[in-house]
Amino acid sequence: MTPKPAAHPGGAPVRASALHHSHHRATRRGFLYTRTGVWTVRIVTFVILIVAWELYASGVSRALFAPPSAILESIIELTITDGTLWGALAISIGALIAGFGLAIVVGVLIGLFMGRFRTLEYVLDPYVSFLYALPSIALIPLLVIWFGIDTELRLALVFIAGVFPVIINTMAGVKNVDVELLDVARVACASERQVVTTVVLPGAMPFIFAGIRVALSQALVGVIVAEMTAIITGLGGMIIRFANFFQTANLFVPILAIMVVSVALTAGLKRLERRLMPWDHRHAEEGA
Amino acid sequence: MLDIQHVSKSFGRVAQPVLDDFSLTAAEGEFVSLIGPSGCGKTTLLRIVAGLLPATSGDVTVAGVPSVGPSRDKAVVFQHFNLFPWRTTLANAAYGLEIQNVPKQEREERAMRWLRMLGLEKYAHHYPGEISGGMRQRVGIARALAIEPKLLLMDEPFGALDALTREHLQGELQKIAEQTSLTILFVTHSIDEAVYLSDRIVVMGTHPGRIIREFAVDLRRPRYDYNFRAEPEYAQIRGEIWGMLERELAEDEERSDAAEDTTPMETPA
Ligand SMILES: Nc1ncnc2c1ncn2[C@@H]1O[C@H](COP(=O)(O)OP(=O)(O)OP(=O)(O)O)[C@@H](O)[C@H]1O
Ligand SMILES: [Mg+2]
Repeated sequence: MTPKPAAHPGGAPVRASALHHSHHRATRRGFLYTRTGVWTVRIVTFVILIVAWELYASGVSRALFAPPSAILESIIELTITDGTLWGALAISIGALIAGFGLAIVVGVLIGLFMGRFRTLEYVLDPYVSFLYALPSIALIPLLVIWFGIDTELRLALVFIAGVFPVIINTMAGVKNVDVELLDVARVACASERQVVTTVVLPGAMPFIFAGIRVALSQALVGVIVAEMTAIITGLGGMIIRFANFFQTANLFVPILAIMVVSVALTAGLKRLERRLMPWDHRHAEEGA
Repeated sequence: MLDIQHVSKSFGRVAQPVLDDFSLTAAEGEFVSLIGPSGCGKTTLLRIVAGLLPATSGDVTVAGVPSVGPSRDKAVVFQHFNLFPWRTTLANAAYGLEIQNVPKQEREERAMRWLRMLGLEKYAHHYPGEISGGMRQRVGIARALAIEPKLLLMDEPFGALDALTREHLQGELQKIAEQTSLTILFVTHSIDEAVYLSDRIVVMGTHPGRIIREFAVDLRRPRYDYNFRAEPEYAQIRGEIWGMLERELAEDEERSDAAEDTTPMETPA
């Protein structure tokens, strides 16, 4: 139960073979298929895109479309000169992490119990299925009535958006655990708690992570939509305020920030997954 | 040591029992093999003895104690190894001791002794996905032996291995059986394997599962030291069991002319 990824013995050979593979392709199909080739193409196309955008945008009204140079100015202004982006970012990420973290803990627990105890599954399954099917942003007005226009509203929305995918996937993972492995625990005289910690949870881990990945994207949508529609705050609030004043260049900054946050969180999740499941070779084969 | 008295087992509403009045005893240190046609209830019997499945009627006693559920003096080696993919070789082998709350250092030392004996010390920190089938089953054996059981139950443990690896592990199992006072109940499809390893072979018939006959194997031990297949007794036992199983299969076909449920089941849930 305490695997050290550094000592992961399968990592090295797999990565070596992946490298060998790309090298092989490179010799057959030329420069475009090497690592440097790919990055050269990416950078060149990016520069072309930016230049074209700059040329086009300088011909139209600033309120409609902002050129990259103006966006860069806005980035500098919002991150360094007045730094308002950081406050908004902290607000949004704070709500996201708190609600999402709570959703994971509660979702895994409920999913675990539903997967282990059939009666509980029969009782709760209809509610879980229907609430999972409902796009959580439809609940915003109701949540406003219940929680008012305050931080709790976002917390509740993020939680609701995240908890159901986690429940459903955890339950599926728990029920999917190999019965032959459960036999091993039973002949070893494991208690229910030991069965859960040594067989059920590790066995359900890939499912739980799949649920968490879905939950993360749902939760992110939840935060931003709540901030744009109900409480005008955080990154979502920033977008709305800039949009209302047609400050198009500024508008791009929180959008970019959301993208960066989303990518960073997904990457962090992937790292965590690799750390917690070093035996799982799918990661190694994807090639870091 | 092991005493199975009048055990019967039926599943659900199916009229015919899978096991019918099955009785078998094994003395301490004895190696008993169960051989029989597919679907005759060998796995079912083993699971009842292991305490994974309740018998419909009858009693199982292990070391004088009624055996109704899993207990620490019994260990199982499974046909499909059943290693935890998320545990290294060492952690898999130490699993039973971990469940018994043996402190980490002690359980790793004890598990390591068996891994060393089975030639696995170099692979102690590998995951099951990184070692060969033969090694995996050795881990399965180490895991069973690490809790130092009195009774070892093995359900076709070498069935999924290639001939060479199988022969090698049979030799290792024999050595372990010699060095310990383990009582072993061993399910197999292979007459050769049964003769090689056993003190006694129990031949089972099907529909319902029952004992047809028992054979004592008096071939000199250790049997990995000489070509036991050249002994006249080997050919004789082999021939008798072979004929018996063929007759049983033919009779069973007649009996089940009306019935259609002869599909074997690998792993009953
Ligand atoms: N859980 C179950 N429910 C219903 N029937 C079962 C169950 N488990 C086993 N059986 C039936 O009991 C019979 C014996 O099965 P068992 O697995 O014990 O046979 P076996 O001798 O181990 O066969 P094999 O050599 O193929 O492994 C089969 O006919 C099977 O269909
Ligand atoms: Mg079987």
